[in-house]
Amino acid sequence: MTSVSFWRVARRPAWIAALLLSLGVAAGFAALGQWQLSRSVDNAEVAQGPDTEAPVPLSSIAQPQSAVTVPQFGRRVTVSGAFVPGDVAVVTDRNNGGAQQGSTVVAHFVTDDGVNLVVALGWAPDAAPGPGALDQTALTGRYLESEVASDSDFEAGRRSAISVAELINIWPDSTPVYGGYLVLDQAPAGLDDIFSPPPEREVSLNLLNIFYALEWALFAGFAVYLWYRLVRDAVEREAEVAPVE
Amino acid sequence: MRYAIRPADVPRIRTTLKFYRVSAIVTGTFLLLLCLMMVFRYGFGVDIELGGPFGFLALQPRELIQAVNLSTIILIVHGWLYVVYLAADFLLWRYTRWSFGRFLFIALGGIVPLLSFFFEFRVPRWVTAVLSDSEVVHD
Repeated sequence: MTSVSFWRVARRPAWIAALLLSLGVAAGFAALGQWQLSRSVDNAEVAQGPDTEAPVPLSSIAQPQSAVTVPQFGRRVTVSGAFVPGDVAVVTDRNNGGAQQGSTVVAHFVTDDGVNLVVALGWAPDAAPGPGALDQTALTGRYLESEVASDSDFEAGRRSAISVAELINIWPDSTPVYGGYLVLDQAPAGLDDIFSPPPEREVSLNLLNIFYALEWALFAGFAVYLWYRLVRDAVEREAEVAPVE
Repeated sequence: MRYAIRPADVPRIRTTLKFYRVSAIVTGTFLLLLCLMMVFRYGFGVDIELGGPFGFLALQPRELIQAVNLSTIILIVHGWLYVVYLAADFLLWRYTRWSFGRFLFIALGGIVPLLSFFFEFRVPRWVTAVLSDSEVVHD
């Protein structure tokens, strides 16, 4: 059998129609594979959650007296209100994205709605920087989950965790309170900005969908191969019936 | 019109038939498991958990499964077993030179529940018919 006779058979309208059909089937399979791939990414996007970087009012995403949920965690939010004069605490043994240990200054903020909020102002490499006058009334920052104070710190007389539960005990009249704390985008003068990257959310590609996409690709290739095989068969049959050429 | 098989293909047909019958039984079994798993997942909203805290086999909502999700494994395994089944079907169809319609018909065995068990005893008869024809033609 020669390739010339193959093309002579393949050029016939019936086989061209069959080719179009098999290409159509292959395109359908490929589209199904594409759909599986997009599903595997869509599923990952669902896990990704909302945009964390566009600031929204804190009161629109979080309730006082409740813990930080996964969709709330790490979102940039705005609040308006005023700091409570004198309610400032220093949290030690904090790094700021690097190896160096320093301390973070936290302050007590009350929103216009009368809800208390712990605000991490900024970071300094030395032990206890004196906070300046806190006169901002509109804050923008990242809303993070309260940390847990450890027993060993308590026994050693240290404070190394930003624990809302612990801080409201040292600041009078601080309920209701938001369950998380705010990290200011821009630290006041004298302090460094706190290193606070966007939250890393788990991105898990759906392997099942990827395997299905692979299978559909295989089937698509097979549909075109079948056409080729059928034309070859037709050529061979004609050669058997009338072995000329 | 029927086309005679090639004499050289006769042993290949026998081997492929064995391969096909095993594939038909295994794929058919997984297809039934797949149906069972679909009824649980889409009918009752639960998946089958293997070796989890609620026993060797347990029915749990998909999100709550901690150990092996047997339902998803059945899905994947059936998908690839079907690829193998199609390969067996294809080879058998090539060697026996059956019609393209019969190739497609046998291919349905991996999708229609219980059909592959029917083929598992019907296809050998078709093969026997082809082989006895070829003995008449070539011997």
